[in-house]
Amino acid sequence: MCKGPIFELDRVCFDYPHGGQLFKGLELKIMSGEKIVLLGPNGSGKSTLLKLLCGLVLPSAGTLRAFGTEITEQRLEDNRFAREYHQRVGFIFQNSEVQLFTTRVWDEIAFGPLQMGLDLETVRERVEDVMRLLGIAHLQDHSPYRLSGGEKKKVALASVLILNPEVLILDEPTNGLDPKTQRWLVDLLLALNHQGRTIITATHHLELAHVISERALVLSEGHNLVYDGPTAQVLQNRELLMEVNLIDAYYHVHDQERHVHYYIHG
Amino acid sequence: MLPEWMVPEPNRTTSCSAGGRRGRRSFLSKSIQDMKKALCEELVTGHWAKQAGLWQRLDPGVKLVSAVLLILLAGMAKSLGVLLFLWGLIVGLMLLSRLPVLTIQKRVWGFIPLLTLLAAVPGMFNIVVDGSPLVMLYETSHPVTWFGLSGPGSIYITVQGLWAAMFLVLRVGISLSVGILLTATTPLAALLSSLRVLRVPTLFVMVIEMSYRYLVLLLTISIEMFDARTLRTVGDLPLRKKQELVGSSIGALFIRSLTLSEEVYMAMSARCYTGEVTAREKYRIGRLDIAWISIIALISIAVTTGGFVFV
Repeated sequence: MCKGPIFELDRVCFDYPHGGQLFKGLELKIMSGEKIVLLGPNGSGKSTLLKLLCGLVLPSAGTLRAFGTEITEQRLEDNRFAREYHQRVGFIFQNSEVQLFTTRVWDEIAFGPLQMGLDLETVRERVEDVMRLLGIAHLQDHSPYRLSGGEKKKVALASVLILNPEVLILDEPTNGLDPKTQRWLVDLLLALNHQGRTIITATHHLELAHVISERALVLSEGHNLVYDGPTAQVLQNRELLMEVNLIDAYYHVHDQERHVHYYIHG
Repeated sequence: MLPEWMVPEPNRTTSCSAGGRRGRRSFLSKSIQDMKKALCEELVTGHWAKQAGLWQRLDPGVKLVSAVLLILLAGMAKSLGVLLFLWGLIVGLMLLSRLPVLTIQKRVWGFIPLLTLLAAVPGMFNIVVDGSPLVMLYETSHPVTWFGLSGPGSIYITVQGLWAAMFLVLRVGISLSVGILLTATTPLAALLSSLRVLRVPTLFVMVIEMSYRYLVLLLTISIEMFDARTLRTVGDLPLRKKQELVGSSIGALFIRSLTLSEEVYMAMSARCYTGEVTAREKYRIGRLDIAWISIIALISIAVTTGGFVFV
């Protein structure tokens, strides 16, 4: 595993193909083994930033370095480099439907290692191990269409974990999951981080943020990085959270007393 | 503050008025629902493929090759005996594979061969293919003449024509039975990957698989779009408006499918896909497969060299 900085973003900008710009000169450094949460309201650019880190989209200006190498279009066009990079950086999409593109769970999980060129016997062993780890062995012959939201998320996770990535990037991983599955996912992420993996999670689920991260990055509605520091500290910063539209407040009166309540956008 | 028109009317009754004309489910929405149901059943159930029957135990590749061979034999056979033997063999295989033989055979012989027969009817008459008369339908010593062209002196069903039509119907029915035997006893995923046995490129197989997978999703989205539209439609709309709505729904669905395809490609790239697809699980040929290959080879040799084919 890499011990230094994994990602270094230097004055990064990103232009949408249909117009509009995100991150005007974003500076960011992510170290190996960190637990990071990316907070921000809808449309703040969380998913795009994650896709940048994963090499699925590229900056229009500035440089993105990963594992000490600058990530450029030319580099990603080199199949060997692209395979190795995507093996090291795993990405769990917000919408599991896009990630489950085969007609059978087994094929779905085996897709990544087969692309990496692992022999069939090793792939079989790995698929069995990862299915056992996530408790989805009974689903191996099912079609993704038959799966519930939680099961789809588990299969999507298995399809990435089988590549044994150093960095795990998750986009809104708890969306649509019941509390028990959410708890299971959090425990799994903590265990993976304990083993040295870097975990980067985008969410606007504040209750989850303090459990799964030590460092928080907050994006504003104007697509700027407005906070980079300890998660515990930002969760106390009510003003900032209200400013970036992550929490809201309402007042009500009972027992002749005026109360203010804060609630989380979810 | 709510605008005035949103304030509830004070005298409005709580119950909805009834007695209006009942709207019919639109043809389009019904068709989409039915398509989705059929596809889901296909994708999801796999009930017969899970039975502990003979063909379920065979390797999908072996089954695919056998099915192609049986269809070829049925297509080339020129003896009624061979065709009946092949039909008997398939019915026997269906029984051994624990399939509902009666229901399948009713469906097979009840509909599609009838359509084939309709297509084959012209060929039964002497005006298309000449032959020995079997049933005389029309005969005259003075054929009718139109614009210098004289009509036929007689119209009858020929023995050869009837024989050819019967063969065609039998061939279609047998081929259909083989197709059902193969698809009912093989899970879709296994069936698609077995296409590699026939040297179908892996990328092509993957494209078929993905199309199949996302067809259900896009159908679900279409149904939701139509349902949402129905819930917001009061009364019967004029045809032009309906056409506009269907057109805009198709456009919206197309844009969604484009976005989806872009995201799916990203998801594939994120899992080391670089444009070359690596073959997946290889199936193992067992003793039963070898026994079956021997049987089908013997049948093929017996049928082709026994004087029944190409005679």
